[in-house]
Order: sequence, then C-alpha cells, then structure tokens
Amino acid sequence: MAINFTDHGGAVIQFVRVYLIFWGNAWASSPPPTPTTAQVTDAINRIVSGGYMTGLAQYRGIGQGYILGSTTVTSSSPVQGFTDAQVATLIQGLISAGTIPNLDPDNQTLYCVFTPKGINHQGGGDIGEHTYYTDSSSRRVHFAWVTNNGTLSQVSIIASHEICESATDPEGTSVLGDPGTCSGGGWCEIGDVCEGTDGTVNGASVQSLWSEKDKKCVVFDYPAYTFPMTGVQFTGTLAANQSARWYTFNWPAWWDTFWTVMPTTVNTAGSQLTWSVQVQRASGAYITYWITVTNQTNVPVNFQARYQTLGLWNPGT
Amino acid sequence: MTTGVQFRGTVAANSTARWYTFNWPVTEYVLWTVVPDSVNTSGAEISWSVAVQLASATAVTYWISITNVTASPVDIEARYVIVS
Repeated sequence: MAINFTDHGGAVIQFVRVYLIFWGNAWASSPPPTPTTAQVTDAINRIVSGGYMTGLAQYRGIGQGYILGSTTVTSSSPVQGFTDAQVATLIQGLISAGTIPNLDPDNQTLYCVFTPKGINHQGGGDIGEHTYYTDSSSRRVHFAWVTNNGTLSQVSIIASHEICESATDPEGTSVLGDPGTCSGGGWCEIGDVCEGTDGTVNGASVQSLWSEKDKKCVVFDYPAYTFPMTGVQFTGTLAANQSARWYTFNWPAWWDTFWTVMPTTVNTAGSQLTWSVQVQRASGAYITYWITVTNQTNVPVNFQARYQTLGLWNPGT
Repeated sequence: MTTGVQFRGTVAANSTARWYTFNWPVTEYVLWTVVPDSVNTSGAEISWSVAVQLASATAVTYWISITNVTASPVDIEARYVIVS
C-alpha cells in the first residue's frame, strides 16, 4: 500500500514553544540520573531550533520553535502504568498553581512531559505519545509524554517524533495518513511510518519523518548555506516625491536578513531615498518583508532593493 | 559572525514598546532585526527602530523601539548579528 499523507485542514502548531516537565523525584536525585535534565533540555533545544524542523515547512509552513521553559516536579511521580489522563491532570495542576505558564494566546505551546527511567505507560506498548485535553476555558491543551530507557539518544529520538507530530497534527485533524498508510491504530502521522530510521541533526539524535514532497522518510536538516548571502531582490522607479511599498515573501524565518535600498540614478545635489521595513510572519517558517521607499527629490529615481542574509537564526536556550 | 536572540516580548495592538540592552562592547559591529513570533496571514505586523547610547568608553546600550501595526497583540523576538 502506498504511503500518502493529506492535510485535512485542522489545527497545526506553526511555531512551537515547548515547555519541558520532568516528572518525578528521580529527575532530582543525587547523583543525577542518566540522562540528566540538562542533557535532555539541550537535546530538545537542538531539535526545535536547528535544521530538523525546517522540513516541516512543506506542511502548511510549519517552522521551528524554541524552549519556553522547564520545571522538575518532585511533589509527585508517575506510577508504573501511568495514563494520559494522569499526565493531563499533572499539567493542568501545574498551570492552575502558576508553576508553569498557561497557554499562549495563539495556542502554540506544547507541554512535553518526561518520565523517569523504567516507568512505562499503561499497557506498556507505547514509548511516547502526543494528544490534548480541553481546559475549563474550552481551549485545547496540547501535550506529549516521553518515556525513558536511560539513554539520551532514545529520549531525544522519541521527543523528536512527538514534537513534530504535535506540530503537524496536534488534534488528529490535520496532516494524516490516508487509509491504509499505517498498520496500527490511533492517529496515523508523519513519524509513525518512519520509526526505526534515525539520524543526528544539530548534535541531537532524531527520528526521520515522512516527507510528502519527497515521498520517503527524511531526516530533515538545513541545506548547505554560505553566509553572507547578498543580492538585489527587486528594482523599481519612484516618481518625484513619491512613496511606494513593495513586498517580498517566503523568506525563511531561520535566516537573519537585512535590507538596504540603493539609488541607481545619479544625483549630485543631495539625498535621494529613504526606506523603512515592516515584517510579517506569514507562517511559522516564512517571513514577508514590506519595504516602503520614499523619493525625496523632485525627479524620478531608479533604485535597487538589496538583501543581506548574514546567518542562521539562533534562539539560544 | 555571531547570531542570537536577545529578548522576546509582546507589543500591544497599535502601539509601540521600547526595550534596552546594555554592556555591548563598543568594539563590536552589531546589527539588529526584529521578527514577529505571532503568525499573521493578512499583512505587515511590526516595524522597529534602533537608538544607540555610548554608556561608557567601552559599553554600548541599544534602545529598540518596536511598533505593532496590527489590531492584535504581537509576540516578537529581537535578533542580533555581531558582524565582527
């Protein structure tokens, strides 16, 4: 049976803000566990802010993300055979107590819960999952849980799967496999058909994901860039004392791009042009720049709009 | 070339907010850009301007004013590039 994925138009997370929750005393033990909370946090940061998620741009322009924060919960621990409902209760309790932030207005937050080594989900068959619950304000709270076999690579690979599936299909209504694509039950998503083929991106272990564009499982990463990249994006002419606005779109949000405007009409008398830039994040992955150019002279002026892309986005931790 | 995000924040609808960031070495060539973190499919969201203060012989403070041109709050991130 061929693998085909279709976007059914439901919710997606365009620009994920991941909040990490380390659940259980074991995460705070001395000596610290393997992996440590710091190691997991570093891996997730590498996953969400490196090139790995850039391949999701093919799915409605989903982009990268960043770590919103983290907390370690020592007041309770997950039981062997924990349930989704228990995870949801944990998250809602932390939100209600003000321990972790509530949903952002655009609902781009993903709460990601990490369990201690050896603690399994109910039934034991699943090692990670993402889903949602509905809070008292009728908002859908997106969350994932990730189990832990004591190796950083496995935790990182499971998390990469769950975070990207949360972005493309947080509620089971968006990017889904056509009937017959998956053999198992539940939501058939872009990580499910690629389990077992992994790689390393930005120093983190990750799972490959289905690329509908390529019709195969791919470990997404940045293409090769050589910075700085410079060029003329467009040229134009302004009548005397005219101001006009242009836009240019589909600029990767992971580029740091700057704009200048240069007259190509000689004038020995004085300044000719001014410009200003407005910015729009048209999707998680892409930016539109709106460039307003003003001719200060009383004669027509030709000009170039030049870009300088100096480097890759680096959100830090 | 070093890139980074110096701060994140929210600018209220149709308003301007100003942030400052200090102790940047005067010897460094620093460029600033601001990008919305809120997706908006209908048009431009923000503009920004930068003012500069030489706070001491060695340290620079940048004052970054960000204007939200939409009717909704916009989350932003201020990005820097240290060119040299």
